[in-house]
Amino acid sequence: MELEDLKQAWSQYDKNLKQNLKTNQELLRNMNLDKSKREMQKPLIYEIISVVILFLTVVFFFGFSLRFISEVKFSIPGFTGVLLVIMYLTFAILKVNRFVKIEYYKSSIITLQKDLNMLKTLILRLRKIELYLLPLLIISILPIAFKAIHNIDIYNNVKLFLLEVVFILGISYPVGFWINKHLYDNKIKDVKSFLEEIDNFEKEN
Amino acid sequence: MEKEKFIEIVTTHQNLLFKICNSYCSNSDYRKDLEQEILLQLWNSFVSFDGRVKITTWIYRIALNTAIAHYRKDCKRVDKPVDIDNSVFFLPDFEYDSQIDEKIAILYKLIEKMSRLDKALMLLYLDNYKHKEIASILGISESNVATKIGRIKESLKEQISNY
Repeated sequence: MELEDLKQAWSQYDKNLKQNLKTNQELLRNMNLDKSKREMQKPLIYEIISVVILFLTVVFFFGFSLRFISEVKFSIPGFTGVLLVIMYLTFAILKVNRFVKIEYYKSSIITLQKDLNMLKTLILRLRKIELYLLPLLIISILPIAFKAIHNIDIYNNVKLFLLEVVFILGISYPVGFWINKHLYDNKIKDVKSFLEEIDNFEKEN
Repeated sequence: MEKEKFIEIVTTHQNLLFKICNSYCSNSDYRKDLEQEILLQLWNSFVSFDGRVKITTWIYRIALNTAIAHYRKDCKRVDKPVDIDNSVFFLPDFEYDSQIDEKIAILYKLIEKMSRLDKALMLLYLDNYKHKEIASILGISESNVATKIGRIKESLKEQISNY
């Protein structure tokens, strides 16, 4: 058997498909295509909402940190928290920026697959950092949040506060490390391997 | 109205979509997922289709990109299961040439063993696309297309000898 035989058979197969294949038009008509479009845009919508919420969070905590600027026990962790939220905000803007730059329907296969996989790598890498920053963020905004919202001085009970800090750090870092190692690192490895496959495919050798 | 036009296009080019789905997913249950995903992507891009490229080129580009992005070696679902029970495309029983049937089964087996990018190249080659068109759809140079097709042919020749 030769490849040409198979190619001819494929051509015949294509003709047969054209003549005999049926499309379930009723099913196609009933498919909620517009709803699915919204579903597909969910990751982008999620990031846009994140940008808005994070921006409001920055404004909120920056305002309260300024209000308690003379009380360093509140303002310093408050400003630290603001800086961390700004980092989250920057990450979200980076992701939105990458999302909107992708030309889903006009790019060639190689360009689109590269863009999609680079976006995936960016998201996964940023998620790893976000996971490590989260406990620091919680600890830094706790004093100012309690003071601003409930007018409670969290330092009144130093032992309890330290216990909370140790608990948050003690639990979240091993868990974060485990998640990063077993989930995100594996996913990044897969994406990188496909990016290598794309690079090799592009190479003329 | 738009939807009816879309359905008409899909129906006219159902053979193309059927071949792509079969080449990227041998499991019939998971193939439905891929089928639906391709149809959704086609529908989403339908509004921006301006006719500057051939309709088959547009379908190929969207369908292959979707199949590659959702490709898993074991054909497992990437996201949540789809909410349809039946395939959009179906092939009723009909009188068929058993020899051709056998050859097509061999071809699908050979395609199944290929990488997801080579599958795309192979499908375009089998459908008699010119090197220039393949290069444009894939986003590689024409000479690269020629080299890769030559290599695939060599590899297939070896594998075909086993059948």
